[in-house]
Amino acid sequence: MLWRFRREILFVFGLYLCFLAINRGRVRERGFRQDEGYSEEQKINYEDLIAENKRLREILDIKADRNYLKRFAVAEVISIKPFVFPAELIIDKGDRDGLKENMAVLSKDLFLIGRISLTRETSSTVVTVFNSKSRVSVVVENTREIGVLVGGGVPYVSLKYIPADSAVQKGDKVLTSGYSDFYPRGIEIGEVVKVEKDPDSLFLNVAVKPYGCFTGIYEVLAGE
Amino acid sequence: MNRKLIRLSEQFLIMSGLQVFVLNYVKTSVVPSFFLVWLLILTWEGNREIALVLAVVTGLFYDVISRGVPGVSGVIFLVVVYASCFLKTNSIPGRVAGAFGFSLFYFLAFMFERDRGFLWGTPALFKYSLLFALYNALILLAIELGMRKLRWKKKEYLSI
Repeated sequence: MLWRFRREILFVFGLYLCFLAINRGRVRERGFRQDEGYSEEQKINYEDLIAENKRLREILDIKADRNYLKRFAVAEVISIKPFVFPAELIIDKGDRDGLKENMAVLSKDLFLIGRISLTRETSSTVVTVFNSKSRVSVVVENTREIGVLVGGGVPYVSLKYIPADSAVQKGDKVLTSGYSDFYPRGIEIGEVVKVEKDPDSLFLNVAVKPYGCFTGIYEVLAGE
Repeated sequence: MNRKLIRLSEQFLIMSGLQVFVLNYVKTSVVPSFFLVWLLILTWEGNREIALVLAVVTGLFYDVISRGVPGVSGVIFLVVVYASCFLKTNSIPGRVAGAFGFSLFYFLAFMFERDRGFLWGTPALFKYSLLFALYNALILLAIELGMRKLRWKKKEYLSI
């Protein structure tokens, strides 16, 4: 009888194991890390530690140079979704470290990644500029025109509400305008890679390549 | 039994190597899922129970190497393998179409968040899900053709 439903039993058992793994991941996000059962050799990966140390030193140097960054916390990226053009990150700092929802998140090179959408005790979810729910008030550096960077497109995000007679061109830098409640003014996001005129619209179709959102994100700065 | 286990381990290692390689060194906008293709082939070759078990194992492993939340890919792999058990096809076009459809489902399910909807906008989602499904279908086609050629050679040799 049971043998007849072996596939269904395996399916349900498999689902149980996966949900267990997801929950365990969430427990880890909450900060209850369990590292028993590993030998010292497995715990210490020296090459990773050296690379991490180097990245953290770079961040500390940058923080020392810029006063406004002193309020920012350095966090480690726990997970990325999806692997290419990430729309969502989970970082290992949360309420306990002073992070709040809607705080800005920057890469170690000080490009905007996105903002915190949810905080837990010791972890937070970050919505990146690639996320379909992301909207950022920006300014084009050369023309000083204000637009809205709308997420959802990959590999480029679109810059809306730039007038059709604008002098915006390929290579122009795009920065946060400072008019939104979420992002400080002047944070670099990326550069204009495509400008198209739409005869049926009063605005240009502008594509922007964000610099901060790529798979090599290991540490980020979060704050306001 | 032991021989089968060794063969499966070999296949797992090859697929892991290929998956790690494409995730880290292939700079395309989407990368194919060798694990998904392998699981589908295992199912259609009659190893359904083994494929269900491996769906969980490879899903967990895939989440670790792609820096995702562990378990998410496992759930989707498991659903795909379970659904593919009901698709009984031996023809190459049937399997390629099946791989295309299941890959499309995998991509869309992976990009969906319960409270927030799809993580990318509709045009990007449409374009890249089709691209992902196409890559997987092509990989499955190549493996199927290779497998059938090998089987044909083996049969011919035995008949002599």
